[in-house]
Amino acid sequence: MRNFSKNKLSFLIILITIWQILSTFNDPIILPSPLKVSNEIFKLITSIYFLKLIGVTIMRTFLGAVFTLILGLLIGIGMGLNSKLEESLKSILIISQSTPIISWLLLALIWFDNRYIPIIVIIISNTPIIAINIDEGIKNVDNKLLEMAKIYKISSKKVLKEIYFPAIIPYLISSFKIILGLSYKVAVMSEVVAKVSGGIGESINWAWLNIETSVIIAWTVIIVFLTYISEKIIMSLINKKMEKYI
Amino acid sequence: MIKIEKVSKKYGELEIFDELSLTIPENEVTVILGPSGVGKTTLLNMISKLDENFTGEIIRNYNKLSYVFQEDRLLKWKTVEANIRFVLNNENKSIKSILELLELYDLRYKKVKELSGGQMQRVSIARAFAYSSEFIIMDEPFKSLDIFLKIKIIRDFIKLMENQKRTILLVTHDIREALLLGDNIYIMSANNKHSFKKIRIEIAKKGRQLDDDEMMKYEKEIYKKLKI
Repeated sequence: MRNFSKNKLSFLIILITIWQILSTFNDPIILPSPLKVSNEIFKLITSIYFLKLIGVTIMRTFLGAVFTLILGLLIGIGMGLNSKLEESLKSILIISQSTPIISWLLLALIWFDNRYIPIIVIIISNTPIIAINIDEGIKNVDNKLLEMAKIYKISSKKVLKEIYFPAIIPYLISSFKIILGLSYKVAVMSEVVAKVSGGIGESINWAWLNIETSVIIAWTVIIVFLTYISEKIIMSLINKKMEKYI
Repeated sequence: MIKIEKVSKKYGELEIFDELSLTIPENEVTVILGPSGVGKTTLLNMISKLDENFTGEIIRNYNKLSYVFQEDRLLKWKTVEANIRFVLNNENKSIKSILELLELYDLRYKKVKELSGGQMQRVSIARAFAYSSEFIIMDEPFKSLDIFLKIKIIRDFIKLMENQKRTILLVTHDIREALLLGDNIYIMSANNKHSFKKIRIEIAKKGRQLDDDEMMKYEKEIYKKLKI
Protein backbone atom coordinates (compact mmCIF):
# COMPACT_ATOMS: atom_id res chain seq x y z
CA MET A 1 0.00 0.00 0.00
CA ARG A 2 2.77 2.43 0.95
CA ASN A 3 4.63 1.52 -2.19
CA PHE A 4 1.55 2.21 -4.21
CA SER A 5 1.09 5.73 -2.87
CA LYS A 6 4.80 6.34 -3.35
CA ASN A 7 4.35 5.44 -7.02
CA LYS A 8 1.40 7.76 -7.29
CA LEU A 9 3.36 10.59 -5.72
CA SER A 10 6.36 10.20 -8.01
CA PHE A 11 4.04 10.05 -11.02
CA LEU A 12 2.42 13.29 -9.91
CA ILE A 13 5.83 14.95 -9.47
CA ILE A 14 6.89 13.89 -12.99
CA LEU A 15 3.62 15.21 -14.40
CA ILE A 16 3.99 18.56 -12.69
CA THR A 17 7.62 18.82 -13.81
CA ILE A 18 6.63 18.24 -17.46
CA TRP A 19 3.84 20.78 -17.03
CA GLN A 20 6.33 23.29 -15.60
CA ILE A 21 8.77 22.75 -18.49
CA LEU A 22 6.03 23.08 -21.10
CA SER A 23 4.65 26.22 -19.49
CA THR A 24 8.01 28.02 -19.68
CA PHE A 25 7.91 27.71 -23.48
CA ASN A 26 4.31 28.86 -23.78
CA ASP A 27 2.29 31.97 -23.19
CA PRO A 28 0.44 31.77 -19.82
CA ILE A 29 -2.82 32.15 -21.74
CA ILE A 30 -2.10 28.85 -23.51
CA LEU A 31 -0.57 27.05 -20.55
CA PRO A 32 -0.14 28.76 -17.18
CA SER A 33 2.54 27.40 -14.85
CA PRO A 34 1.69 25.06 -11.98
CA LEU A 35 2.57 27.81 -9.54
CA LYS A 36 0.16 30.27 -11.16
CA VAL A 37 -2.59 27.67 -11.09
CA SER A 38 -1.96 26.90 -7.41
CA ASN A 39 -2.10 30.61 -6.66
CA GLU A 40 -5.39 30.74 -8.50
CA ILE A 41 -6.71 27.75 -6.54
CA PHE A 42 -5.74 29.49 -3.32
CA LYS A 43 -7.42 32.70 -4.45
CA LEU A 44 -10.60 30.83 -5.37
CA ILE A 45 -10.76 28.89 -2.12
CA THR A 46 -10.23 31.94 0.05
CA SER A 47 -12.70 34.12 -1.83
CA ILE A 48 -15.97 34.89 -0.06
CA TYR A 49 -17.95 33.40 -2.94
CA PHE A 50 -16.22 30.04 -2.89
CA LEU A 51 -18.54 28.21 -0.51
CA LYS A 52 -21.60 29.59 -2.22
CA LEU A 53 -20.34 28.58 -5.68
CA ILE A 54 -19.40 25.02 -4.77
CA GLY A 55 -22.45 24.74 -2.50
CA VAL A 56 -24.80 25.42 -5.37
CA THR A 57 -23.07 22.96 -7.69
CA ILE A 58 -22.87 20.28 -4.96
CA MET A 59 -26.56 20.80 -4.26
CA ARG A 60 -27.48 20.36 -7.92
CA THR A 61 -25.26 17.31 -8.24
CA PHE A 62 -26.72 15.63 -5.18
CA LEU A 63 -30.32 16.42 -6.05
CA GLY A 64 -29.71 15.02 -9.52
CA ALA A 65 -27.94 11.93 -8.19
CA VAL A 66 -30.61 11.22 -5.59
CA PHE A 67 -33.49 11.61 -8.07
CA THR A 68 -31.56 9.41 -10.48
CA LEU A 69 -31.12 6.81 -7.79
CA ILE A 70 -34.83 6.74 -6.93
CA LEU A 71 -35.99 6.69 -10.55
CA GLY A 72 -33.35 4.13 -11.60
CA LEU A 73 -34.21 1.93 -8.66
CA LEU A 74 -37.92 1.96 -9.49
CA ILE A 75 -37.34 1.24 -13.18
CA GLY A 76 -34.69 -1.40 -12.42
CA ILE A 77 -36.89 -3.22 -9.90
CA GLY A 78 -39.83 -3.11 -12.30
CA MET A 79 -37.68 -4.56 -15.06
CA GLY A 80 -36.13 -7.21 -12.85
CA LEU A 81 -39.48 -8.50 -11.66
CA ASN A 82 -41.43 -8.16 -14.90
CA SER A 83 -39.90 -9.62 -18.05
CA LYS A 84 -42.38 -7.85 -20.37
CA LEU A 85 -41.44 -4.49 -18.92
CA GLU A 86 -37.79 -5.44 -19.20
CA GLU A 87 -38.12 -6.34 -22.85
CA SER A 88 -39.78 -3.07 -23.75
CA LEU A 89 -37.53 -0.84 -21.65
CA LYS A 90 -34.12 -2.42 -22.10
CA SER A 91 -33.50 -1.25 -25.67
CA ILE A 92 -34.69 2.25 -24.82
CA LEU A 93 -32.30 2.38 -21.88
CA ILE A 94 -29.39 1.09 -23.93
CA ILE A 95 -30.06 3.65 -26.66
CA SER A 96 -30.33 6.50 -24.17
CA GLN A 97 -27.18 5.30 -22.46
CA SER A 98 -25.21 5.66 -25.67
CA THR A 99 -26.76 9.03 -26.54
CA PRO A 100 -24.15 11.78 -26.13
CA ILE A 101 -24.78 13.82 -23.01
CA ILE A 102 -24.34 17.01 -25.01
CA SER A 103 -27.43 16.04 -27.10
CA TRP A 104 -29.53 15.71 -23.97
CA LEU A 105 -28.12 19.00 -22.76
CA LEU A 106 -28.97 20.88 -25.96
CA LEU A 107 -32.46 19.37 -26.10
CA ALA A 108 -33.05 20.22 -22.45
CA LEU A 109 -31.97 23.74 -23.24
CA ILE A 110 -34.83 23.94 -25.73
CA TRP A 111 -37.42 22.17 -23.60
CA PHE A 112 -36.84 23.30 -20.03
CA ASP A 113 -36.17 26.33 -17.88
CA ASN A 114 -32.42 26.92 -17.52
CA ARG A 115 -32.46 26.63 -13.72
CA TYR A 116 -33.47 22.98 -13.83
CA ILE A 117 -31.19 21.91 -16.64
CA PRO A 118 -28.26 20.53 -14.59
CA ILE A 119 -30.57 18.32 -12.53
CA ILE A 120 -32.64 17.19 -15.53
CA VAL A 121 -29.60 16.28 -17.60
CA ILE A 122 -28.09 14.34 -14.69
CA ILE A 123 -31.32 12.37 -14.33
CA ILE A 124 -31.74 11.64 -18.04
CA SER A 125 -28.14 10.65 -18.66
CA ASN A 126 -27.62 8.55 -15.51
CA THR A 127 -30.91 6.79 -14.82
CA PRO A 128 -30.20 4.03 -17.38
CA ILE A 129 -26.96 3.15 -15.59
CA ILE A 130 -28.74 2.58 -12.29
CA ALA A 131 -31.74 0.81 -13.86
CA ILE A 132 -29.65 -1.61 -15.93
CA ASN A 133 -27.46 -2.44 -12.92
CA ILE A 134 -30.42 -3.06 -10.60
CA ASP A 135 -32.06 -5.24 -13.24
CA GLU A 136 -28.83 -7.23 -13.45
CA GLY A 137 -28.70 -7.53 -9.66
CA ILE A 138 -32.24 -8.88 -9.48
CA LYS A 139 -31.43 -11.46 -12.13
CA ASN A 140 -28.55 -12.63 -9.99
CA VAL A 141 -30.74 -13.33 -6.98
CA ASP A 142 -30.08 -16.84 -5.77
CA ASN A 143 -32.92 -18.93 -7.12
CA LYS A 144 -32.23 -21.53 -4.43
CA LEU A 145 -33.07 -18.99 -1.74
CA LEU A 146 -36.30 -18.12 -3.55
CA GLU A 147 -37.25 -21.81 -3.59
CA MET A 148 -36.51 -22.01 0.12
CA ALA A 149 -38.76 -18.96 0.71
CA LYS A 150 -41.51 -20.58 -1.33
CA ILE A 151 -41.36 -23.79 0.72
CA TYR A 152 -41.54 -21.89 4.01
CA LYS A 153 -44.37 -19.67 2.69
CA ILE A 154 -42.49 -16.41 3.27
CA SER A 155 -44.54 -13.32 2.34
CA SER A 156 -43.51 -11.55 -0.85
CA LYS A 157 -42.84 -8.37 1.08
CA LYS A 158 -40.33 -10.20 3.26
CA VAL A 159 -38.78 -11.93 0.25
CA LEU A 160 -38.27 -8.54 -1.39
CA LYS A 161 -36.73 -7.05 1.73
CA GLU A 162 -34.63 -9.96 2.90
CA ILE A 163 -33.60 -11.75 -0.30
CA TYR A 164 -33.88 -9.32 -3.24
CA PHE A 165 -32.68 -6.19 -1.46
CA PRO A 166 -29.40 -7.66 -0.15
CA ALA A 167 -28.72 -9.09 -3.61
CA ILE A 168 -28.99 -5.71 -5.32
CA ILE A 169 -26.96 -3.81 -2.72
CA PRO A 170 -23.55 -4.40 -4.37
CA TYR A 171 -24.96 -3.39 -7.76
CA LEU A 172 -26.58 -0.32 -6.23
CA ILE A 173 -23.37 0.76 -4.52
CA SER A 174 -21.15 0.32 -7.56
CA SER A 175 -23.56 2.05 -9.93
CA PHE A 176 -24.14 4.93 -7.51
CA LYS A 177 -20.39 5.39 -7.32
CA ILE A 178 -20.24 5.68 -11.10
CA ILE A 179 -23.09 8.17 -11.37
CA LEU A 180 -21.81 10.34 -8.54
CA GLY A 181 -18.62 11.10 -10.46
CA LEU A 182 -20.52 11.55 -13.70
CA SER A 183 -23.06 13.83 -12.05
CA TYR A 184 -20.41 16.40 -11.10
CA LYS A 185 -19.15 16.54 -14.66
CA VAL A 186 -22.65 16.80 -16.08
CA ALA A 187 -23.66 19.46 -13.53
CA VAL A 188 -20.70 21.72 -14.31
CA MET A 189 -21.01 21.15 -18.05
CA SER A 190 -24.70 22.04 -17.94
CA GLU A 191 -23.96 25.13 -15.88
CA VAL A 192 -21.41 26.27 -18.44
CA VAL A 193 -23.37 25.48 -21.60
CA ALA A 194 -26.80 26.55 -20.34
CA LYS A 195 -25.27 29.56 -18.59
CA VAL A 196 -27.02 28.67 -15.36
CA SER A 197 -26.12 31.15 -12.67
CA GLY A 198 -24.88 30.52 -9.16
CA GLY A 199 -22.56 27.53 -9.46
CA ILE A 200 -19.02 26.65 -10.44
CA GLY A 201 -20.07 26.73 -14.08
CA GLU A 202 -20.82 30.43 -13.93
CA SER A 203 -17.36 31.17 -12.60
CA ILE A 204 -15.80 28.98 -15.31
CA ASN A 205 -17.86 30.81 -17.91
CA TRP A 206 -16.47 34.15 -16.73
CA ALA A 207 -12.96 32.80 -16.82
CA TRP A 208 -13.48 31.52 -20.33
CA LEU A 209 -14.88 34.85 -21.54
CA ASN A 210 -11.86 36.66 -20.03
CA ILE A 211 -9.42 34.00 -21.30
CA GLU A 212 -8.23 33.23 -17.76
CA THR A 213 -6.82 29.80 -18.52
CA SER A 214 -5.36 29.45 -15.04
CA VAL A 215 -8.80 29.88 -13.46
CA ILE A 216 -10.28 27.21 -15.73
CA ILE A 217 -7.53 24.77 -14.75
CA ALA A 218 -7.86 25.75 -11.08
CA TRP A 219 -11.58 24.98 -11.12
CA THR A 220 -10.88 21.69 -12.87
CA VAL A 221 -8.51 20.66 -10.08
CA ILE A 222 -11.10 21.69 -7.48
CA ILE A 223 -13.86 19.69 -9.22
CA VAL A 224 -11.69 16.57 -9.38
CA PHE A 225 -10.91 16.97 -5.69
CA LEU A 226 -14.57 17.61 -4.85
CA THR A 227 -15.65 14.45 -6.72
CA TYR A 228 -13.03 12.41 -4.92
CA ILE A 229 -14.00 13.73 -1.47
CA SER A 230 -17.76 13.30 -1.95
CA GLU A 231 -17.25 9.79 -3.25
CA LYS A 232 -15.20 8.93 -0.15
CA ILE A 233 -17.75 10.46 2.24
CA ILE A 234 -20.81 8.91 0.58
CA MET A 235 -19.20 5.50 0.26
CA SER A 236 -18.15 5.38 3.89
CA LEU A 237 -21.70 6.36 4.91
CA ILE A 238 -23.23 3.72 2.64
CA ASN A 239 -20.80 1.01 3.67
CA LYS A 240 -21.58 1.62 7.32
CA LYS A 241 -25.32 1.35 6.67
CA MET A 242 -24.99 -1.71 4.48
CA GLU A 243 -22.71 -3.69 6.73
CA LYS A 244 -25.57 -5.89 7.91
CA TYR A 245 -26.23 -7.08 4.38
CA ILE A 246 -22.66 -8.02 3.53
CA MET B 1 -50.11 -39.18 4.33
CA ILE B 2 -48.68 -38.36 0.94
CA LYS B 3 -49.80 -40.49 -1.98
CA ILE B 4 -47.96 -40.50 -5.26
CA GLU B 5 -50.15 -41.95 -7.97
CA LYS B 6 -48.95 -42.96 -11.41
CA VAL B 7 -46.47 -40.14 -11.66
CA SER B 8 -44.37 -39.98 -14.81
CA LYS B 9 -41.48 -37.62 -15.33
CA LYS B 10 -39.17 -37.07 -18.26
CA TYR B 11 -36.17 -34.84 -18.84
CA GLY B 12 -36.32 -34.49 -22.61
CA GLU B 13 -35.90 -38.05 -23.86
CA LEU B 14 -34.70 -39.36 -20.53
CA GLU B 15 -37.40 -41.11 -18.58
CA ILE B 16 -36.98 -40.77 -14.81
CA PHE B 17 -40.28 -42.20 -13.54
CA ASP B 18 -42.90 -44.24 -15.35
CA GLU B 19 -46.26 -44.27 -13.59
CA LEU B 20 -44.61 -44.41 -10.22
CA SER B 21 -46.86 -45.02 -7.23
CA LEU B 22 -45.71 -44.61 -3.66
CA THR B 23 -47.20 -43.97 -0.23
CA ILE B 24 -45.56 -42.01 2.56
CA PRO B 25 -47.32 -42.92 5.82
CA GLU B 26 -48.19 -40.30 8.41
CA ASN B 27 -46.00 -39.67 11.48
CA GLU B 28 -43.35 -42.11 10.37
CA VAL B 29 -39.91 -41.78 8.87
CA THR B 30 -39.77 -42.91 5.28
CA VAL B 31 -36.33 -43.22 3.77
CA ILE B 32 -35.61 -43.28 0.08
CA LEU B 33 -32.30 -45.03 -0.42
CA GLY B 34 -30.53 -45.04 -3.70
CA PRO B 35 -27.37 -44.17 -5.60
CA SER B 36 -26.72 -40.70 -6.99
CA GLY B 37 -28.34 -39.71 -10.25
CA VAL B 38 -31.49 -41.84 -10.15
CA GLY B 39 -33.81 -38.90 -9.54
CA LYS B 40 -34.09 -38.75 -5.76
CA THR B 41 -34.01 -34.95 -5.62
CA THR B 42 -36.35 -34.75 -8.62
CA LEU B 43 -38.88 -36.82 -6.69
CA LEU B 44 -38.58 -34.53 -3.66
CA ASN B 45 -39.05 -31.43 -5.80
CA MET B 46 -42.20 -32.91 -7.30
CA ILE B 47 -43.60 -33.76 -3.89
CA SER B 48 -42.80 -30.26 -2.58
CA LYS B 49 -44.28 -28.53 -5.66
CA LEU B 50 -40.95 -26.98 -6.62
CA ASP B 51 -41.26 -29.00 -9.82
CA GLU B 52 -44.80 -29.25 -11.15
CA ASN B 53 -43.86 -30.38 -14.60
CA PHE B 54 -44.99 -34.03 -14.53
CA THR B 55 -48.01 -36.18 -15.23
CA GLY B 56 -49.97 -38.14 -12.66
CA GLU B 57 -51.14 -37.06 -9.26
CA ILE B 58 -49.63 -36.35 -5.88
CA ILE B 59 -52.10 -36.16 -3.00
CA ARG B 60 -50.79 -34.07 -0.11
CA ASN B 61 -52.63 -33.66 3.16
CA TYR B 62 -50.29 -31.28 4.94
CA ASN B 63 -50.50 -27.51 5.32
CA LYS B 64 -46.94 -26.67 6.08
CA LEU B 65 -43.79 -28.27 4.83
CA SER B 66 -40.17 -28.00 5.93
CA TYR B 67 -37.35 -28.83 3.56
CA VAL B 68 -33.74 -29.54 4.48
CA PHE B 69 -32.01 -29.04 1.15
CA GLN B 70 -28.77 -30.65 0.08
CA GLU B 71 -27.18 -27.22 0.29
CA ASP B 72 -27.77 -25.09 3.36
CA ARG B 73 -29.82 -22.36 1.55
CA LEU B 74 -29.36 -19.91 4.41
CA LEU B 75 -29.21 -16.12 4.36
CA LYS B 76 -25.45 -15.98 4.85
CA TRP B 77 -25.36 -12.34 6.00
CA LYS B 78 -27.77 -12.99 8.86
CA THR B 79 -27.20 -14.59 12.23
CA VAL B 80 -28.11 -18.17 13.10
CA GLU B 81 -31.07 -17.01 15.14
CA ALA B 82 -32.27 -14.58 12.45
CA ASN B 83 -32.19 -17.36 9.88
CA ILE B 84 -34.46 -19.53 11.98
CA ARG B 85 -36.75 -16.62 12.90
CA PHE B 86 -36.95 -15.82 9.18
CA VAL B 87 -39.32 -18.76 8.62
CA LEU B 88 -41.27 -18.29 11.85
CA ASN B 89 -43.36 -15.30 10.69
CA ASN B 90 -43.52 -13.30 13.91
CA GLU B 91 -44.33 -16.45 15.85
CA ASN B 92 -42.70 -15.65 19.15
CA LYS B 93 -41.86 -19.19 20.10
CA SER B 94 -38.74 -20.35 21.86
CA ILE B 95 -36.10 -21.89 19.68
CA LYS B 96 -33.71 -22.50 22.55
CA SER B 97 -34.27 -26.22 22.87
CA ILE B 98 -33.78 -26.96 19.19
CA LEU B 99 -30.64 -24.78 19.14
CA GLU B 100 -29.27 -26.57 22.17
CA LEU B 101 -30.04 -29.97 20.74
CA LEU B 102 -28.10 -29.22 17.57
CA GLU B 103 -25.29 -27.52 19.52
CA LEU B 104 -26.03 -24.15 17.98
CA TYR B 105 -27.09 -22.21 21.07
CA ASP B 106 -23.68 -20.64 21.66
CA LEU B 107 -23.45 -19.72 17.99
CA ARG B 108 -26.87 -18.09 17.79
CA TYR B 109 -25.59 -14.52 17.35
CA LYS B 110 -22.94 -15.48 14.83
CA LYS B 111 -23.41 -14.66 11.17
CA VAL B 112 -23.97 -17.78 9.12
CA LYS B 113 -21.09 -16.94 6.76
CA GLU B 114 -18.71 -17.36 9.71
CA LEU B 115 -19.81 -20.95 10.32
CA SER B 116 -18.34 -24.19 9.01
CA GLY B 117 -20.20 -26.29 6.44
CA GLY B 118 -21.37 -28.75 9.07
CA GLN B 119 -22.62 -25.96 11.32
CA MET B 120 -24.54 -24.43 8.43
CA GLN B 121 -26.19 -27.73 7.72
CA ARG B 122 -27.23 -27.96 11.37
CA VAL B 123 -28.79 -24.49 11.14
CA SER B 124 -30.73 -25.71 8.13
CA ILE B 125 -31.97 -28.72 10.12
CA ALA B 126 -32.86 -26.48 13.07
CA ARG B 127 -34.82 -24.21 10.76
CA ALA B 128 -36.82 -27.14 9.41
CA PHE B 129 -37.71 -28.40 12.89
CA ALA B 130 -38.43 -24.97 14.37
CA TYR B 131 -40.99 -24.37 11.62
CA SER B 132 -44.33 -25.78 12.69
CA SER B 133 -44.81 -28.11 9.75
CA GLU B 134 -46.50 -31.48 9.66
CA PHE B 135 -44.19 -32.81 6.98
CA ILE B 136 -40.41 -32.56 6.69
CA ILE B 137 -38.45 -33.40 3.57
CA MET B 138 -34.74 -33.99 4.03
CA ASP B 139 -32.39 -34.34 1.09
CA GLU B 140 -29.13 -35.92 2.26
CA PRO B 141 -29.20 -33.78 5.41
CA PHE B 142 -26.14 -35.31 7.06
CA LYS B 143 -23.91 -35.32 4.01
CA SER B 144 -21.55 -32.55 5.01
CA LEU B 145 -21.10 -33.69 8.61
CA ASP B 146 -18.06 -35.58 9.83
CA ILE B 147 -18.67 -39.10 11.11
CA PHE B 148 -18.60 -38.20 14.83
CA LEU B 149 -21.06 -35.38 14.49
CA LYS B 150 -23.14 -37.48 12.15
CA ILE B 151 -23.57 -40.22 14.75
CA LYS B 152 -24.33 -37.65 17.42
CA ILE B 153 -26.86 -35.79 15.29
CA ILE B 154 -28.56 -38.99 14.22
CA ARG B 155 -28.97 -39.88 17.92
CA ASP B 156 -30.32 -36.39 18.70
CA PHE B 157 -32.51 -36.59 15.68
CA ILE B 158 -34.11 -39.78 16.96
CA LYS B 159 -34.79 -38.02 20.27
CA LEU B 160 -36.27 -35.08 18.42
CA MET B 161 -38.63 -37.32 16.49
CA GLU B 162 -39.86 -38.95 19.67
CA ASN B 163 -40.96 -35.57 21.03
CA GLN B 164 -42.62 -34.32 17.92
CA LYS B 165 -44.83 -36.43 15.75
CA ARG B 166 -44.17 -35.46 12.18
CA THR B 167 -44.09 -37.16 8.84
CA ILE B 168 -40.55 -37.29 7.56
CA LEU B 169 -39.25 -38.16 4.13
CA LEU B 170 -35.51 -38.57 4.09
CA VAL B 171 -33.36 -39.20 1.05
CA THR B 172 -29.92 -40.71 1.42
CA HIS B 173 -27.38 -42.96 -0.21
CA ASP B 174 -26.02 -44.10 3.15
CA ILE B 175 -27.37 -47.53 4.11
CA ARG B 176 -26.49 -47.08 7.81
CA GLU B 177 -28.41 -43.83 7.95
CA ALA B 178 -31.42 -45.53 6.42
CA LEU B 179 -31.18 -48.41 8.89
CA LEU B 180 -30.92 -46.15 11.93
CA LEU B 181 -33.66 -43.72 11.00
CA GLY B 182 -36.22 -45.35 8.75
CA ASP B 183 -39.55 -46.93 9.60
CA ASN B 184 -39.97 -47.64 5.94
CA ILE B 185 -37.13 -47.85 3.47
CA TYR B 186 -37.77 -47.55 -0.24
CA ILE B 187 -34.94 -48.76 -2.40
CA MET B 188 -34.51 -46.84 -5.59
CA SER B 189 -32.40 -47.81 -8.56
CA ALA B 190 -32.10 -46.72 -12.16
CA ASN B 191 -34.04 -49.76 -13.42
CA ASN B 192 -37.02 -49.24 -11.14
CA LYS B 193 -38.93 -46.38 -12.64
CA HIS B 194 -42.32 -47.83 -11.83
CA SER B 195 -42.18 -48.85 -8.18
CA PHE B 196 -39.57 -49.10 -5.46
CA LYS B 197 -38.79 -52.15 -3.37
CA LYS B 198 -39.78 -51.62 0.24
CA ILE B 199 -38.48 -52.77 3.59
CA ARG B 200 -40.19 -52.10 6.88
CA ILE B 201 -38.13 -52.04 10.07
CA GLU B 202 -40.06 -53.01 13.18
CA ILE B 203 -37.37 -52.30 15.80
CA ALA B 204 -37.83 -49.14 17.90
CA LYS B 205 -35.35 -46.50 16.71
CA LYS B 206 -33.91 -45.87 20.15
CA GLY B 207 -32.81 -49.48 20.47
CA ARG B 208 -31.26 -49.91 17.05
CA GLN B 209 -27.64 -51.04 16.96
CA LEU B 210 -26.05 -51.58 13.61
CA ASP B 211 -24.17 -54.68 14.85
CA ASP B 212 -27.33 -56.40 16.14
CA ASP B 213 -28.19 -59.67 14.40
CA GLU B 214 -31.65 -58.34 13.70
CA MET B 215 -30.32 -55.14 12.11
CA MET B 216 -27.72 -57.12 10.11
CA LYS B 217 -30.56 -59.08 8.60
CA TYR B 218 -32.20 -55.88 7.41
CA GLU B 219 -28.89 -54.71 6.03
CA LYS B 220 -28.45 -57.94 4.06
CA GLU B 221 -31.96 -57.58 2.72
CA ILE B 222 -31.15 -54.08 1.48
CA TYR B 223 -28.00 -55.29 -0.24
CA LYS B 224 -29.96 -58.05 -1.87
CA LYS B 225 -32.57 -55.61 -3.14
CA LEU B 226 -29.88 -53.23 -4.35
CA LYS B 227 -28.26 -56.18 -6.12
CA ILE B 228 -24.78 -55.15 -5.03
